[in-house]
Amino acid sequence: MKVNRIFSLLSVGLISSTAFVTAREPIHDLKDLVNLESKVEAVSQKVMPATVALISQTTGSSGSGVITTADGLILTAAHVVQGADELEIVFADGKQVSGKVLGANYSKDIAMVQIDGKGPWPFAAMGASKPLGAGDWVVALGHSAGFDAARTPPVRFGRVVSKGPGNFLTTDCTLIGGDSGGPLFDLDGKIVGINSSIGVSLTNNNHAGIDGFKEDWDRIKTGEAWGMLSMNPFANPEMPVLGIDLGRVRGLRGVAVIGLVRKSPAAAAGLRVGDLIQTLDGAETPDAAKLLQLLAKRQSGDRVKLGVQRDRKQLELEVKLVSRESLFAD
Amino acid sequence: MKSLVSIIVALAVPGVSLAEEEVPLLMPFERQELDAQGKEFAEAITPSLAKAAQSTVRVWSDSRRVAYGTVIGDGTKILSKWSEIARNPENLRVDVVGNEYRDVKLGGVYEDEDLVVLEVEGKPLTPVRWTLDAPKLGSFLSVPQPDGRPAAYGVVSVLERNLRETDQAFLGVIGDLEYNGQGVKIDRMVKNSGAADSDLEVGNVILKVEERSISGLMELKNALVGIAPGTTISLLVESKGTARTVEVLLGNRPKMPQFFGDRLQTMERMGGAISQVRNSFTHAIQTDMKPKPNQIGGPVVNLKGETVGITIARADRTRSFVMPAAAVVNLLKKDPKNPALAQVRSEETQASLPTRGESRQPREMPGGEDRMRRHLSDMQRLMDHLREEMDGIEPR
Repeated sequence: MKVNRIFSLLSVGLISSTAFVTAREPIHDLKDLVNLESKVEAVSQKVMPATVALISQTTGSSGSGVITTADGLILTAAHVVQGADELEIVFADGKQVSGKVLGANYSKDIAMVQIDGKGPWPFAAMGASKPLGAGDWVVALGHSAGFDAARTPPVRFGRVVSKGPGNFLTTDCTLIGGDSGGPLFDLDGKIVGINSSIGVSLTNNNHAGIDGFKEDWDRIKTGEAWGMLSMNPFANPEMPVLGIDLGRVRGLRGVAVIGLVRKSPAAAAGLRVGDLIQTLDGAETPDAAKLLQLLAKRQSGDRVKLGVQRDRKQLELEVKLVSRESLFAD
Repeated sequence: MKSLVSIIVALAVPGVSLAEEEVPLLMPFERQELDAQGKEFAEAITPSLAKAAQSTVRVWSDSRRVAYGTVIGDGTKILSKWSEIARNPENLRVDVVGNEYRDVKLGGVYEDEDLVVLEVEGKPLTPVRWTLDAPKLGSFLSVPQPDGRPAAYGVVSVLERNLRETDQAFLGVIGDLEYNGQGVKIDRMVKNSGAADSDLEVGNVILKVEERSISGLMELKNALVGIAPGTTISLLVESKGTARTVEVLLGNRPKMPQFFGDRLQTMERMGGAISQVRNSFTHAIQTDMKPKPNQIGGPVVNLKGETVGITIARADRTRSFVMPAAAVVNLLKKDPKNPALAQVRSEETQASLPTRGESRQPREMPGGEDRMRRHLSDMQRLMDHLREEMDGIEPR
């Protein structure tokens, strides 16, 4: 039996790594590069008309956005619409219209704006961000350093560097102020993310995953604004949790369950006080920090498999993660 | 980490390192994936670099590598980045294939484009062969090292444009921000501008530039892009309910101080050192390549291995500029300036000084302040250099 279990853990690891290999375009020679180039050229052409600058007359800030429906619904970043009710929307060719800020989820840094005028407007369709992984090619656009009439919004090409925290993903498409709210596309020209923040490293450019919109669609569209901007994934209300108090047992590798929160998804899955969590989806969890780090890369709603030691027996429990916010909401 | 509009300081969590430089939550398997892919990409692109690499040299000033150079003409001349060489134009050498060093001396300078022609002693080198076709938006570009490996690669971010503000036509209208209707309502006009010298009046609403309807201030700016100074344009304006056509002779855009917020300046330098002279070029393709400042001046190739231009600046975190081959060929038809009389453009140092408050015409600076600026600029470069070295120590 023990052999079987180890086998199943190994295969989980293998499946996830092959998934990443097949998800991206392989590059073996110049021909593959030419192929990749033609896709990047096509995407750049196709999505340019749907990429807009968002300028607030009240706050003076200038960000970016992307139109995703023919009737003029714009997706952008929450921090771009902060403090504004109305925004000026500027197209790549300078054409200017006005729009109304709808809602925003600040924890995910996502928001919507509706163009006032009647369409049809140029738009880009939404893709999916959850399946993306390290190495997937992406194209970012945005009005770097604010709208500039002398140029179109600059195209940047790169790849997904890392998944998470939560709904966010990191790429090496270099971003700067003004790019915020601008779109990240896959090689089909579908929107997979919204530009959000940067770190010092050139490979640290963060985007909110497009799938975050899907979960909050109706709330944001009807004008609800909630959540908080936080660059610390562990303090983010959207942080996925198990609903346990973390502890440790001297001399043992693993995270001890020393308490269960009310309505805990871990408890619902059968986890008990005294259990020792040793793995999460096959990856070792020698201490609480490592467990938190692995959790931060997941999202609420995801199912994770915990390898647990209980009374010298090995168990595997599947837990559906919830956001910290929803766990403590009443 | 830094939010692109507002800066939010990350809180430290005990036991979890969230160093600023690092990618958040990067897992070992992700790093392996990226490293393997990076290697694959570099190997795949290398065959396209072979030809141009023969015409790429590294320029040394004493024991420092300061720039790349492109071998031009009959192989006895090299084009390179003037401002990087001008700082210490002593004991100039280039290294060519096979660890061979050649002495070079200053030939002439094209101040506006920040380029220098160097003359090579001894046997001619392999000159570059230009391809005059302009690359498309999103096309792949790369910069070879002299040994044929890639120094940088990226895509065309923005098609060729003129970055020099004073070459742009200037109308001189300041729009009324309170105005909400169609068009641009004139709030003020700049003294001695085309608008002020025309029949336009404060309170008029500009509805059309030639045949193009104007939705607002941004579209008005956009409509003027590409029109040469000295052109007369006709505007359809509305005043007190009646429409009329006004002719305006456009002048040159006056030289204006640049207002970059402190935060944007910080972000521009996040990710490594940038070129000292990095703006106001008359022919520039914007790319997202990330060459170092001492890798500027060499050939840029497309995937066919054709040389489509040269790198002229690493402008900031997101931008580097390429001068297209056709523009380089045209420039080389003109006579360069005597290097003894040539200066390095200094607008970059001006722009990097923090400026506050109302827009003012730049003042003439007496010598002392000018020197101070140079010192500030030197210090900035030293900081950049330190960061670069730190980057070199990091694992990747």
